[in-house]
Amino acid sequence: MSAREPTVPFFSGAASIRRDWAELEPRIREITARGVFTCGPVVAELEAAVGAYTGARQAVACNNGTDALILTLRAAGIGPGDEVIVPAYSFFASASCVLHAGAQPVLVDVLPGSYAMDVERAAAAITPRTRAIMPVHLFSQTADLVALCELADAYGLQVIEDSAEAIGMRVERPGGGHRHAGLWGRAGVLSFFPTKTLGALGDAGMVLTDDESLAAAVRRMRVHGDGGAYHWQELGWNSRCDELQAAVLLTRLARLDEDIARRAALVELYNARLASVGPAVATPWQAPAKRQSNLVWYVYLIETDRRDELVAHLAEHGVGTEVYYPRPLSRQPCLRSLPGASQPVPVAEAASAHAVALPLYPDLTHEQVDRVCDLVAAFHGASRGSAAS
Amino acid sequence: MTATLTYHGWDRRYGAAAADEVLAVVREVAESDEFILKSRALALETAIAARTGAAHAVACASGTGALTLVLTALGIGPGEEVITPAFSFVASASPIALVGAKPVFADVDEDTATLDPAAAAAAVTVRTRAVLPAHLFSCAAPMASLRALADRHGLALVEDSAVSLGALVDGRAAGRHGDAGVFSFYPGKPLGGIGDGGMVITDSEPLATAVRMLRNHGQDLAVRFLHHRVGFNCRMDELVAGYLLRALPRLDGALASRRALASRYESRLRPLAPAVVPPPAGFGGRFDGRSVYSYVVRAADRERLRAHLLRRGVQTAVYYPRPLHLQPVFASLGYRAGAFPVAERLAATSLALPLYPGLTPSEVDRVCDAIAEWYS
Repeated sequence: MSAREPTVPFFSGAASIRRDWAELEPRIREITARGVFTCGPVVAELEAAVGAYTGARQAVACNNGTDALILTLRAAGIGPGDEVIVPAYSFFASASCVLHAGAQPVLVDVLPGSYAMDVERAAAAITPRTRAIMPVHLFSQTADLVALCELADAYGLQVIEDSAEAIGMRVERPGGGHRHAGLWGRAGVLSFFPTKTLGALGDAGMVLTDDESLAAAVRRMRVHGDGGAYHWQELGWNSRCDELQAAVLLTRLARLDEDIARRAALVELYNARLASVGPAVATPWQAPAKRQSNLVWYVYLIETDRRDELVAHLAEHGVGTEVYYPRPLSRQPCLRSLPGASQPVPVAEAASAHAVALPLYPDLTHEQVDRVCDLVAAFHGASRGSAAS
Repeated sequence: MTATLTYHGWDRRYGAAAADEVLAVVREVAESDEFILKSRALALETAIAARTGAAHAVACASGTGALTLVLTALGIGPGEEVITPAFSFVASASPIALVGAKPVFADVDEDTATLDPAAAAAAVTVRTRAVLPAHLFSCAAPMASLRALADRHGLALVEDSAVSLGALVDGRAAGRHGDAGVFSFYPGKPLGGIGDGGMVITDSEPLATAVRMLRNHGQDLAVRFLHHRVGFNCRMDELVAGYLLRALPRLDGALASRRALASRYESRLRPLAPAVVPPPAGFGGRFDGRSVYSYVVRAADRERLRAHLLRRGVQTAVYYPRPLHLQPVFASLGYRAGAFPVAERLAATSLALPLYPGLTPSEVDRVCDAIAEWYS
């Protein structure tokens, strides 16, 4: 890239922190004066606030989204000899959490467009050892939770949602009204990884559930299984949430709906600009199936045949991208020996070959979106499209 | 009526000046858009390696996480046993169970409350893979004897030095006596962070590489989203690393003020023995008096002494009310009361007195006066 070209990082949150600083600073001063830096009153306040935002009766903060999944599975009693059905297209933690609980992940293919677990594939994967189905809600919408819950009910299985990316996603209930992602089955999780729709300045995560006893078990296990005064009840580890991360999250939660709207506006801009590039670039699936959630744009994912070349071209011009995900879980070196890992997952394979995420975050400017789209258009040799403001 | 002296004194550990420092770290990290395991964590690893002399230092999310990563990196798992003290914080044993292996408890030495090499030797079986001693409170485990034991049986030696950063054990940095050692940066530690953090140190390059991979989901160290091993999310935040980098130069001062407070306790409480027994003179000697974390005394009437101190406005803590082999979490291992008499005696008699930088000499006197009053 030439020195004059403006860069577009894959993620930046610095401007948001400057915006929020006047609210954040007094919170940080309070934490420092109190001297409690892990799992203190600010974490409790965050748990109450996220509980109110999502409608979860219990929200239990922990160190990260992966731990939230492991804690949930263990608290749900899933362990050795059990199978959990997981989509083959996801972040690694969707499968590793099952292994860390001592159970076996059974990987099934996803649907094109939504990248969510294919309900028919899930049904076909049920065995006498299946204990749970774990749908993952990727990028901008949920899996078909109504159908998956019906399937789970029919076989007496638990639904545990990897809703790490799904804050703000709500699904219409068959009886009317909406329910937030993560609350359709036994429990769900949130990740507050810095780039997430609600992101911290480091690792943090949360378990969401209406199940009081599951929440109580997670609360114990996140502090070494301590039932109080160093009486260790069950196997746990250290998975506490830091107070400083909770302060950042509380501050940002107050503006979360604004941030979600800002993301949606940027997506419209991307869609309009990339439409002119033509069929070489597939913009994200726009019409959620009837029983999927509203769109909350955590990630703007396009598909294109010359993905790796495009990534290199954008990097050369200072634009960051991420390949979510470069291979199906069944082709990760450490998961290849899983039973069933050799089953074909053609939809996951195709997505792995073609998908790439473009920069999307509230601090991104219209000019930066234009710049990214200009570079994508130039790469595909298309007309440069109309210049947006 | 004097104000209650709290055990931890959290609100006295970080003053107004600390707030400015914490704010500066938060702002700097936010402006840099570097959040997890980036330049500050790397700089901290370099600084801890230099301080301890270890060839490799690997930052992670907590001391417990550090132990879990080390055991996983050593390939310890189902069907295997790891020998660990019956009297310790639960995290000396829980990582063994978390990786699927069996914790095998052994009794501790009466004076130092650390793993007894003879008891450890007696616990070795054909399934034993490692010995995992812990430095506890302010005493070091007998690492030379345990190293010899491990070498004799071809076992790994993992040093739970979570509380001992900055200390020398028999002249060599704590954490450097086994195949790997770990540190915790929990805020209560002598070098405490502004959130949880931990570190693995080792001289073994393959072990360090495995831990680096395992702390971040088993990912290839160069290629994102390529997972070679079923790893964990056990990463250090830049916020924590940024603060620790600023605090590390203050570690020796923090240890010195803890030592001064401990000396004052020692001179006031020694005359009261054996009604109340202070830690062994020089903390058993192996630390050369360099490391003081918790100040734990023993008293046969611990519960009544504790209640008396509370009436006098002095909070204390019980580390630990029950030895590990009798904790519910390890009930399935089948140990019974009486299995480890020293550990059981320590669990019944140990009492931790307030000790933290910022505690004043006159407050130490107040605690000692109240103890003296009880035994007068």
